[in-house]
Amino acid sequence: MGADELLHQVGDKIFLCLGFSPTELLWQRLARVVQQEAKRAGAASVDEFLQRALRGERAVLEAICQGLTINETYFFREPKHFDALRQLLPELAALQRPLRILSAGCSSGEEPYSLAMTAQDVLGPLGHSFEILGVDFDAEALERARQGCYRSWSFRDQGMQRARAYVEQRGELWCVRESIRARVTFEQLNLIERVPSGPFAVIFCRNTLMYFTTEHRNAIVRRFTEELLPGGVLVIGSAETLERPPSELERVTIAGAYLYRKRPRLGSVTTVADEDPIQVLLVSASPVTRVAIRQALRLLPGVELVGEARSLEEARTRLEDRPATVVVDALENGILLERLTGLQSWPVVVLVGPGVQPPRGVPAVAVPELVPGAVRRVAPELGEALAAARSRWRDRPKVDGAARAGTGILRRPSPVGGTVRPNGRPGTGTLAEPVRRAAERLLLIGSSTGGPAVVAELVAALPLGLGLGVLVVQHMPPNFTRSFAERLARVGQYAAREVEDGELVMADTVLVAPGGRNVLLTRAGRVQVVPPEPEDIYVPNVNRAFVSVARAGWGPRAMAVILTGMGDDGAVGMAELQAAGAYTVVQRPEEAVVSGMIEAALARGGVQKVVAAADIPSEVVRWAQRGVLVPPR
Amino acid sequence: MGGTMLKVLIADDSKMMRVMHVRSLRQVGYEVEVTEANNGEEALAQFEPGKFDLVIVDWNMPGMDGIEFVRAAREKENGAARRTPILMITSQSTEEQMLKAREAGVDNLLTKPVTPEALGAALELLLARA
Repeated sequence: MGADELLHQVGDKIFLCLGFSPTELLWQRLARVVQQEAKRAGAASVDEFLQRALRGERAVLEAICQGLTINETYFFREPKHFDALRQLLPELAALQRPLRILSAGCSSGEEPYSLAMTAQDVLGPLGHSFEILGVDFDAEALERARQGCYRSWSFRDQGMQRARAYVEQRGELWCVRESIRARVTFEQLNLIERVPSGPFAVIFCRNTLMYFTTEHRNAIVRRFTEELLPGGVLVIGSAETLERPPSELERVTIAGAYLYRKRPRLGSVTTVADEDPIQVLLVSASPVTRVAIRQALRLLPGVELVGEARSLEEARTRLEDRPATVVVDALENGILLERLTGLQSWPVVVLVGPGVQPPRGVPAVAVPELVPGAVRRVAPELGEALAAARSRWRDRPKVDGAARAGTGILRRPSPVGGTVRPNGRPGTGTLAEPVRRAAERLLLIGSSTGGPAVVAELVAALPLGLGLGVLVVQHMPPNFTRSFAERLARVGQYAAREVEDGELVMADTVLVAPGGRNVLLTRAGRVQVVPPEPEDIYVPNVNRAFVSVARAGWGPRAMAVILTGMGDDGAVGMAELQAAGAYTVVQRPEEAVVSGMIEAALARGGVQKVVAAADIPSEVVRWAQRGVLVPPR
Repeated sequence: MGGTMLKVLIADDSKMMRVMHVRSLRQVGYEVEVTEANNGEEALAQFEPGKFDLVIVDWNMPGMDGIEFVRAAREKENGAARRTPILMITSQSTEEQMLKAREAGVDNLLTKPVTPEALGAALELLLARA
């Protein structure tokens, strides 16, 4: 029997018992683990070791299983998740006391201890108690977890900085202080057999689910959901996704991290309790709108959000399973009012931009601006429109025209200014499904030291449908910009890639200037990729990109942002863009990793507004909503 | 730590980054005597066992990169009484990359961007053993 075949037989056996999904990566890992464990066990050869595994020798199988399941982890790995938790904890504390957190797949304990430190930071001063449960399959790793002492390598990246207050040195090791260890208990179990009983306010299960088969993964996530408190959160690894999360879970972004939150139960304050709750399905392609309307709906007693869909097609599928009142966002994303006909078997409320005529008889709520705060103000109108839709729906003639009769109009006056909306051109009604098209406006980002993380957060928060193309000029060596672009494509909804010479700037797309080259914009909205000039200290050069945009006549359709960075690149370009009619903003210098570039731009006088990085996405949305002063050619 | 004179070798192809590291070191309370290198070869030419209290090295540099430098430096000090603490500062942060750095002989690793506070904490960790 060949070595490969032996390995496969052993793999099949082990993956089956662990419930793992044998991916290419896992096979590679298995080969590595087998080699390492054979050596460690002093086996005559890898083959001999594998033969023993096949014969079912327990020690050998266990050694391989443990090698496979070991999670090379460290303190505060993926710091964003802990930042998000920090932000959520005060709110979660209202749900449970002591607040309970599960760390599933906790390996040697770095994660549950990091969770305890974070909870201690936030809840300690509030006098709110908490407890952490760490579970793992690997008994040996759990033993190390209980000891709570680690080599300095376990504190790499941001680990030491964040854990510092809670560890003490013992010889070569750093040990978690007793005050933290007392909060954490460990238990050995296999998640496919059992998920610990909750309820938990928080479940961390990172870089663990990916090993399981889809079937087991879905079952585990369902169990997690059952054990979560309503309003509690599930955190998975940032490289992982849930293909079909249970409907009780909604995906939320907090502090730049993606989490799943179990929908809170609505306050049981139903005053006029003779009515069933109005169950709502929210349809919008825009995450900004979904967040805003979700908030508005929560303010309404007797209204229950039962689902969200990103397109009408998705909505129809959902409605077949579960009828509901449909709230459709026609503000953007090319959802056409005419196409609502397909939804006329259900009560419908439409969200429209100012000055737009909804179809006759459909209750509409005019939403002035797509920023969460503003939309919250429309909650009362939304409530009335929902009630109107329901009553008309009930009173509808039963034979024909049922749909139209199930609807009613509620309108509010347009705000001043005759705004041009970004996308759903009023009254034209001929847009097909949203397709990528040439950008109508351009967001320019100039960034250097400390910038990639900020750019990623910004891109992650940008809603689709603004007609917006993004050009990122980040000082970076060659070969780095491609993976940076790939990262941007993962974090948000925009397509993202390293730009190629001659590429047209498209809407809903992020183009990243390639390292070692400069980019220039042409009048027709194409990007030229050119070699840097000898005098360019910073490459890709922000000034050259920005100036080309101004000179190509794109000023009035451009917004330019300077983020963190050393040096003064971009200052000249900002001034020229401002003169050409662009909207120019900089990140708040106090929060920048290095504020040199920002301060240079401010000193040069080409900056119209200073904005916190976290507020830049809504600033972009506001700017895009203002419309263009000069119509695009 | 305040007032400690630290002999540091900084290898980074970006002058800007080298300046930033020195500034951060001073900001968190170290007095430093700095030797600068543009790439791995230059750093290796400077590196002698026991000559530095700390090495800060970038991963990606033209020519000999940080990983190759660390391997060569560890070889050079093979048999020396004490390993020089090596801190790698990089944008490479996948698990495989971290392990590769570890195997090469890196003592600790920070991912960019690095705040002075993070650098201070990492040094505390590294220098405490020395």
